[in-house]
Amino acid sequence: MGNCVCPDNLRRMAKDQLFSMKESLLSLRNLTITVGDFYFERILVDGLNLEISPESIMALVGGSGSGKTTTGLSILRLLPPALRVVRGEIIFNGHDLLKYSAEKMRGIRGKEIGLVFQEPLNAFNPVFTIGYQIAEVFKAHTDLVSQQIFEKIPQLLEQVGIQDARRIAQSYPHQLSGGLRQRAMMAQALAGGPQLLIADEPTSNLDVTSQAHIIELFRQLKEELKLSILLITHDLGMVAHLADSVAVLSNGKVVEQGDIKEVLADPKHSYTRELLEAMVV
Amino acid sequence: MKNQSLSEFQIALGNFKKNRWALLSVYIIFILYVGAILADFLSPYSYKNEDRKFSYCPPTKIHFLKEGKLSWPFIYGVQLTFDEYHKRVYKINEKENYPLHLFSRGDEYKFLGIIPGRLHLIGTSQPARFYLLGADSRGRDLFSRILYGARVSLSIGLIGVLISFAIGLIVGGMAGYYGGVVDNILMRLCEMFMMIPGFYLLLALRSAVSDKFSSLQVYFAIIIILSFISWASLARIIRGMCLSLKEREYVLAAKAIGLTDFKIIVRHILPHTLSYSIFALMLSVPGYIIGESALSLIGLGIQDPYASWGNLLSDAMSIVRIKFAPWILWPAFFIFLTVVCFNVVGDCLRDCLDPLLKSEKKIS
Repeated sequence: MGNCVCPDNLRRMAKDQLFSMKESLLSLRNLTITVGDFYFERILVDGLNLEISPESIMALVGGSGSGKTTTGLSILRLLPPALRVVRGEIIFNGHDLLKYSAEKMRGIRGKEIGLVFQEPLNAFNPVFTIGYQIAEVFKAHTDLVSQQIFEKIPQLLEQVGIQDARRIAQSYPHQLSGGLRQRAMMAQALAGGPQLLIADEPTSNLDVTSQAHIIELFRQLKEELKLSILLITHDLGMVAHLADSVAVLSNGKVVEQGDIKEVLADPKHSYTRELLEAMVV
Repeated sequence: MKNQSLSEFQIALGNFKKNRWALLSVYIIFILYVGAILADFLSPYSYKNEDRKFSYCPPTKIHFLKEGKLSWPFIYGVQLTFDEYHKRVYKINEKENYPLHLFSRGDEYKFLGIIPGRLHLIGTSQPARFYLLGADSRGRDLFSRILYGARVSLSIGLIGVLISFAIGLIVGGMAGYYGGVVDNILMRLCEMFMMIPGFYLLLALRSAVSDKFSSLQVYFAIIIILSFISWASLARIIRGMCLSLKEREYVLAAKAIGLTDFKIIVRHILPHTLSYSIFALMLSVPGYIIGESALSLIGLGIQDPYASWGNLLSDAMSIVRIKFAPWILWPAFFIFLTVVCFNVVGDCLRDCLDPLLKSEKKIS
């Protein structure tokens, strides 16, 4: 962002201040993640600052290797052992998640923050039915009895737009189509009633019509369940349709951030401009 | 629904059934185990029932023709005499014939340890003795002793395997999942167990255990010792599999929904090691059976009067006895049969459950 104190910038800076004054659901402050040991250390995410407000969709955009999935996983502290968070804070509802014990973290995962994976065929255990794996969330976080869980699962599946919910609940992951699997995975992520949903490239492996459905589903869920969504993607088209605000990542640094309309209308950084030009409209 | 695709288990079972030898082996194993469970009923006599007048009596011939006519099966009485070399000769006395009784009343027993009974499948009236496979030195029916011995030998194989299986899965699962220091310590522990030659460790442990144990205590001691020395190789392989399985995305998904480590290991990682574990289990049962037989053979295992196949074979450790009473080798045949059957089943299971071969053999 420019240093010039011309009227446009002033207006933007004022808006940003207002923006951060609203109580944000999740804020990442100066998050720095590295990989490697003492002799060889590479910075994957460098001083990341991000704010997600309640009931909004924030898109995290960037090319491959820009650090977006790493950021998403680090929120839930599910990074592989080689990666370390060296600096920064992850404030969720006022508490720093990096200081949480393992047990408290387990209370957050699935219950307050849900995670939707890129490839649902891999994210589901092939030897258990969809219903069983969704029931696991209920068993882990609530005290519901099997019978009650058995009733709740079809409701959950219908909420994500799956017809014939009972049959799907008793099917194995490999028996469903890609779109159904993705919806089932969203159902699993929503089972605990989270406030924030982290969606890691949710439509990359789907065909175009399924993509459109999933995008519509996200919008529905945001309105019905008052959900916040962190959308990690490289698809600017989806971002344009869905997101309220966007952060552009390049090489682990945020190069541009702000309201969706502004960023798309007037990209400041050259990288953002490249992304927009590369977008297939 | 008719066109619902089959689960992995059903596919594997279908493939298994195609192999006739494996099916036959399963039936044989099943028959052996049923024979062991129903030993009280199926055996003509109790394992203790001895009659010195019939020491080393050869197997009794069953006759179906009486004076040229088909009749109910019967046996002739025998008389022990000695020939000029002081060798035992059993003279058949054709004047006494004793019909075989089905469901006859014989020695008392307690079925499953609780229900008393006297019913035996086959028997004859006194004073004749029906020796299907011959008699041992004290005149005890070898067939009955083999059936009772099956109880010990086959159950030790099964229980021992299950115990070491459980230990191996837990140790391997934890080592593979946690990695780092935990992995290091557990694997070094495994290596310590694998270092010591199995049979010597077996002997040493058995000797260390008190010799004033009752037979039941000896039985459990043998099981525990056998499991003790053989869990390590399974643990190492399970650990290797878990190391790769924990990288799978559904494990990450399971962590993302907040499951505890224990649940993740038990529910999401270990079931995927079952395809290896099951046939490893099957293939190691023979080791346990032979281990127990070896112990009993040299007198450190099950003692007289209780029967175990190894115990029965200790009688056959003399070439003289084998020459004059070759039927005392029958327990060896049963050990052989059991071992071969388990090996065939284990081998076929390995082929069925091998993920690389699965894609060629899928049935829909």
